[in-house]
Amino acid sequence: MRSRADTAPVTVGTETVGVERVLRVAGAMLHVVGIASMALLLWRLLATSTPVRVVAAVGSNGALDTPFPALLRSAADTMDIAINGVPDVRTRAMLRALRGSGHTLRLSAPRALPPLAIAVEDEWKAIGGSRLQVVANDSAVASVADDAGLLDSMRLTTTGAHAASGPVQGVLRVADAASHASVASLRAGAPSSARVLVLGDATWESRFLISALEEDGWPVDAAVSLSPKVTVSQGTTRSPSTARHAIVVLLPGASSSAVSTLPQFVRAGGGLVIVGEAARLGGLGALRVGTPGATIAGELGAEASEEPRHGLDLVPMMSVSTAAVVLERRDGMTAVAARRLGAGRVVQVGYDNSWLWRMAGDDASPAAHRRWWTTLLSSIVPMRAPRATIALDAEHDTLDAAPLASLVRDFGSPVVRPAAVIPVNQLSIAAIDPRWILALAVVSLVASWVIRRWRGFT
Amino acid sequence: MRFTFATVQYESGDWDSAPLLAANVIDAVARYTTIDVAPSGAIVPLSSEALLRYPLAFLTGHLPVRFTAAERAMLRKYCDRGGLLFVDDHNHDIDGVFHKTCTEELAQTLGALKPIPNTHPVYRSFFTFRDGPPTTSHELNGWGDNLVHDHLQGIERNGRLAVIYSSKDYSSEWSFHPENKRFLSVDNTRFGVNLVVYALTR
Repeated sequence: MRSRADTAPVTVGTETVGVERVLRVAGAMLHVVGIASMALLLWRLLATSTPVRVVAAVGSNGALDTPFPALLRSAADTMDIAINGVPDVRTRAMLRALRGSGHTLRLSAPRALPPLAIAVEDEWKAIGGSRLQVVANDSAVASVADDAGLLDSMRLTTTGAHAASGPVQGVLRVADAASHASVASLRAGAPSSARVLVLGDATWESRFLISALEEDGWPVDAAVSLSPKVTVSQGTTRSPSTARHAIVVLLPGASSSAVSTLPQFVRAGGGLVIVGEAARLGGLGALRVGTPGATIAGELGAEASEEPRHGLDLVPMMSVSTAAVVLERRDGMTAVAARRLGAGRVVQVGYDNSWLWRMAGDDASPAAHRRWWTTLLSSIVPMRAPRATIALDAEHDTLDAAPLASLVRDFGSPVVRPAAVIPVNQLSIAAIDPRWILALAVVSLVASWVIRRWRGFT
Repeated sequence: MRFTFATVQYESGDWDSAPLLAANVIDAVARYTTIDVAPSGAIVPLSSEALLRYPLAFLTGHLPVRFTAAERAMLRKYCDRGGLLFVDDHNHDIDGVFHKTCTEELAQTLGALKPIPNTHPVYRSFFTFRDGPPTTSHELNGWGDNLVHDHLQGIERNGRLAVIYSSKDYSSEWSFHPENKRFLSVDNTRFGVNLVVYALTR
């Protein structure tokens, strides 16, 4: 028998040493590849679930990751679509088109998708604006933006959230700031105009109420009385008419001649706000929402508290009309109530001297005071047809107010994939056929063995 | 709530140098208008939150004025919220210590004073003063200096007049008992009515 030493060359040159090193490294690498392939094959065989072979995925931006023409050309009858983010209106239209072309779509998502829905309505501010109602299922912070940029941010709650904005340019969007899972949009209306007429005595209430309304963008006309012969006027102050004014704010001291024209103004569609002691003016008659009771002094210093209107004097409404809606109570007494009369609306505000809230309240009080009055006046501005066109039919879904709801309506709720299920187009190694892995393992290990044997012979 | 004429009390100087002025202005407002005015005035510390309940306030004195930090903060808040401060130099003297120190304080707190044009609405808000602020006897004779100030000065905050500053010495001119108005051919407190009406209607 020949020993290995008998067959080995007697001399070992530099070239032979170099080849030996290359073979050793190649053999080791092939060995590692073979072992890894075997491990991968074993993992694939032991895996409890079968990978889902998706053909396309919707990303967190709501768009498809695969070109639409490529999907249309696909020969597969059934397409698995991975939904990683709520599809936007364009993507949903593509999916509907795919389904319409004869494909069966199976939607799956890695988790329950976050719902986000918004409703937008025009707010009757003179400078124009929108009021947003947003519903979501968590406490994420959503951003509100229009074509001109970011408008606001809002914390979403399960009970819904609302925000208000100034004039909106173009499309309004609300997006979950963390995941950008949903985008909803609506085209808001153009700015509107509603002129207000303030009538009464020259008091701090008239002065600060006019200021607050003007600061919030309402065009205000006013006639405030200083003496029997002197009235300070601003703008058009002839007798109230729906042709000139949308709302009349009646303060104490308004002239009886002006008051006598108010029933006709309201029945013709005008809005009337009766403030505090003005409810005692003669001639109001059926316009009153409730009978004014004895004035209750405000709590000194409460203007700067959590309940600032507790600091204001209150003329409570003792017997409220059965047709009225109570809007606010204080200590069990009716403080603000509204009613319809003819084509118009009347709001009776029991609070007097609301200017104290603005002047003596906390740092936020000037804005809160403005906001409160604007909201009140907005509720009685004569309404016209909504200016936002809403089209929510499935085939022409031009608005995207509730993208997840639209998706569920069209395709059903996406199946939530177990964590073990791997969408194969997202993990390329999982997409490899196990037979190829086996072949790779065998070839690698055999090659490694051959190299080792060969090294032994040389 | 009734209109109440408020006099500002500040830590330095002599804030109470014109004790009869409030009664005289109140008398004029009640005499010429139907504004519901309180029969007596109020004295309000400049550093107090109570100042915010008086959107028109009057400040006067002869002596140097130095506001405390609390007074400056409250004055800034007062003017930002919509209050109007009427300041009158009881010395009627642009070289006097009140003028120098008070204008410095106002400039530091609210910004520089600027002349109010004589066509401003304050001169037409009730009575008409075509030549601007009415002159006072103290300007014309009194101290022999014939130092007549053509304009009042003012500081605007948020687009509204927040301070009206006078070197006319209305503090002396209006500081007499209202009963004595009957001896005047023309009531010299009428401009006080304009100030009140302007504050209530601007």
